[in-house]
Amino acid sequence: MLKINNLRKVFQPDTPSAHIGLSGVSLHLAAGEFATVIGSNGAGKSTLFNAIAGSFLVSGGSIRLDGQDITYQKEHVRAKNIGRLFQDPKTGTAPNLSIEENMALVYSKATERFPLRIALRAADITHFKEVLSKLDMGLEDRLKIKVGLLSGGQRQALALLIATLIPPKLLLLDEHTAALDPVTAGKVTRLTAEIATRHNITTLMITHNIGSALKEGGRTIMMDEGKIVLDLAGRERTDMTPQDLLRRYREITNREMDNDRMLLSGAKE
Amino acid sequence: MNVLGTLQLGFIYGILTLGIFITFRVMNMPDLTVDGSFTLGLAVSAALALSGRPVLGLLLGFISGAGAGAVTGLLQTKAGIHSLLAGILTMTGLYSVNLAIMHGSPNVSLLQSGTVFSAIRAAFPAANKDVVILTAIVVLCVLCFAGLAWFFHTGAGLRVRAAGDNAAMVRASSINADHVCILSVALANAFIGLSGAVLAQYQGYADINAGTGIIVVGLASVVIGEVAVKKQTIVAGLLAAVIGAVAYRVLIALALSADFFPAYMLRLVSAVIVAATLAIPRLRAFAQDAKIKKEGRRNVENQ
Repeated sequence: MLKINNLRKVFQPDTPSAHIGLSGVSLHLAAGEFATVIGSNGAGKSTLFNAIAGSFLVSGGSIRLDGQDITYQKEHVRAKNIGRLFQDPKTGTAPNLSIEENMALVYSKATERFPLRIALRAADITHFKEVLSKLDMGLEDRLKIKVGLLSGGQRQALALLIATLIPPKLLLLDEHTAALDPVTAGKVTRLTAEIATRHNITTLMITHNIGSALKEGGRTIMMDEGKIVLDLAGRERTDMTPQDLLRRYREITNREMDNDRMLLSGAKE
Repeated sequence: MNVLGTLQLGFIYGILTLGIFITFRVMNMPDLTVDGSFTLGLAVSAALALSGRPVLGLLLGFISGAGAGAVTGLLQTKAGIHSLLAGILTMTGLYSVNLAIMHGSPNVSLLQSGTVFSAIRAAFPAANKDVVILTAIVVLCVLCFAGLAWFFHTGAGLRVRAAGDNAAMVRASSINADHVCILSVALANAFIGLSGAVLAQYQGYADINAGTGIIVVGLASVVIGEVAVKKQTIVAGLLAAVIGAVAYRVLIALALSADFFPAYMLRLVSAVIVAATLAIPRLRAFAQDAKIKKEGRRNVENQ
């Protein structure tokens, strides 16, 4: 589904402040595969996501999604096939629009309705209520309230739901539970896995929680200095403890993992 | 005070305020194109009325306003120019364009030619002429209001609202944020141009300086309307814009008839109203902090 070959990115090339964001990342994900991504601050995790989503053009290499070369496709064009969530729950929704309007905004675009038709129709509301009820947060009864009034956890859950209302081919999750309290984070993590499995969405999830990194999905990718330094799957992964993983990191990089939000605990419930 | 005349002007400026509401409140961006696009509406409307096509003048006032807005939108998105400067550039350029449309003359009189209003008056010879004109203006203003209320519930309208609210989300939703921005500024200035077009035929002349400072008049109307309408839905906001424009005219007419200040002080009064209203949240915070400090000190003294 996702085929990244030798992806390179140099920021501010040919200047004294030039620095390498990605130095030859290659990664293949099969359809429906769920991989977690870990690494220190500045390892290139978010840079990789930005490159895939098209926030900037890469310096070299190629990105293919579902057989299509998207290396130089415009950001909003590839957004049709790529769902994205960020750490800040505020980024995924519009605060002054109601829950139903936020959903209708994305839904009417994704279903390619004529833009001058009323975006929210009776059939949509029934549909939105049904998907919202799966969150188990009571949002289905509060369709008309402004999203800005929701808690961070509710907003992030809603953003996740909106990003997958029409299931994308690829879902990029950039520490999307890091700003949430542990209980809510656990809930959103479970919800993420459930939605990705139900719709068979190929997913990459950056996490600061080493427990989750080993537990969620079927593959763990470790990045350092703009490269993938470790790619774990199968038995090797299931047998690994968070402590083992940190030791492997030390062996590979000769440094301690120093992500400022790193959690060593197992995935909190 | 001439009540009917005040209301007539109020609803004409209501159309302007609807446009200003779109950029200032929905898009969250002060657009300075207004001064130029309003005068553009007057100039185009007057030129066409002079050539005997007043209705076409209103239509082209709307369309040319949209064109002016689209230029500002293009400067912002495709040329990457700051939104304030983009508006100033378009406004400045329009000064020459407007003069060119008015054949180099700073004002054009329509006394000798028919306007939509003379045609409407002629259609209802028995009725009171001010009532007929007011009715026509109110109908047009209500049509603009209803059209926008409908538009902001369509897919495109939601995109405009979301772009002002959370641009990052719009980009991540496979929506071309540049197109949304250009469309929004064009739409806003279309209504501003239409307002100017109506005004030219209403007052029977177009003046090159008609638009000077008109943005502040529009902003004052928006903030006055928000005092009257507390609800914060998009329809309430549009309604507040029209109510604010009418209230602004009434307040000004009252102040002038009571000789509170001479007419040339109008712009200063408008500017003060806008500045004061926009400062209210900050002043409230000051007052609250002062209160907390005072109570805190008192508690210390009482211990």
